[in-house]
Amino acid sequence: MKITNFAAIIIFIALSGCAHPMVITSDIQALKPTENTTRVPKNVGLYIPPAKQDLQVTTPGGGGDRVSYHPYSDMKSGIYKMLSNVFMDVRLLNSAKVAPPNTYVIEPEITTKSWSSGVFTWMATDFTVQLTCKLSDASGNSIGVYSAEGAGHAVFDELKSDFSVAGERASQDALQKMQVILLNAPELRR
Amino acid sequence: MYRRLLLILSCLAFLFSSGCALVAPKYSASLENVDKLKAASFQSISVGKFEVVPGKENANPISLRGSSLTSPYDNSYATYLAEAIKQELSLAGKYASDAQIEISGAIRKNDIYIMGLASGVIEARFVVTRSGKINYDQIKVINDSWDSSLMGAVAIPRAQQRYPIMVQKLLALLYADAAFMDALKQ
Repeated sequence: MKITNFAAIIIFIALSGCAHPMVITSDIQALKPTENTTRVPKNVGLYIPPAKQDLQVTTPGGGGDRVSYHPYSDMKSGIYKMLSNVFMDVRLLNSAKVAPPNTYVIEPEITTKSWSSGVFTWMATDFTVQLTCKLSDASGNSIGVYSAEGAGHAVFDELKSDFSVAGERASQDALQKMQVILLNAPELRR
Repeated sequence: MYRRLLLILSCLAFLFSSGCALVAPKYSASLENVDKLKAASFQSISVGKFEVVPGKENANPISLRGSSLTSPYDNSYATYLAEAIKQELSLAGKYASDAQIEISGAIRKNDIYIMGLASGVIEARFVVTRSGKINYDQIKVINDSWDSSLMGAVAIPRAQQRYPIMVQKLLALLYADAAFMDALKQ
């Protein structure tokens, strides 16, 4: 085998089929309560089904590579913080069926997209996070379905020190938008 | 011929392990830890100063195959630990900057190794005081390990993202100590 062919195979193996780990966590300290708005006078239970808790997702990155992350475990504490900015109290539920009376149950659904304008680096420069919150009462009756899309963009200089910054910004944006949507939903205050 | 191969492999090695100045992800609270604090019967707590005990295993920045990993909080891993406790207490609704009971401490070991198997260590001293009187003073340590990769472009980001999980584990160990939880009630 020619030396150049051998090198080409090594380069191909090194560059192909690889999903680079990243996170889409949000900055909890930056998720502040909305000013001049009263909280919804209800308690909520956050329920993430076991199958979703460690779900790993792979989406496109740059240079033909892919990025992989865990949307639910990455965003779980951000969702909790956002809910504590909206409702009186938040609890983590192990089952949707164990919510105390007068408590809403919230089950999040997260879908993501990523892409990159970079050809030579694997990091995603652009990200979207679609966060949907399904609310039901303690008996399981649907109260409403609310959805917010967050977008995040980053340039190479930022991605050099934080590979995940576009995803982090998208999740932050989705949570901030969801906070406003839930605070302004009159049916939640009935 | 072999010199050419060596050159190509050197270029590849450089490409996949070249040095970058990385920042650890900001702390993201463990909700299991938050629930534990929320369920405990103590009032508000403040978080004081965390110091750094200089030592061979107390790295700052942490070296990851030639890349360096710094803390996003004042370039200090001691501040990172303080912010982590503050964040979990805040989410549990039990943080007050002027509370009489205070958690402080020092970080004694702090390092990640990814040359072979990936592993990391954090050792810290935690002190609980009430109006200056020490109610608790103990050292906690976690040794963590995870899947790594030969490829720097996988191993380095994986190690970077592991740091907050290591801190979550250290705090879970601290909150599991009944003597610590009792000290917060006194």
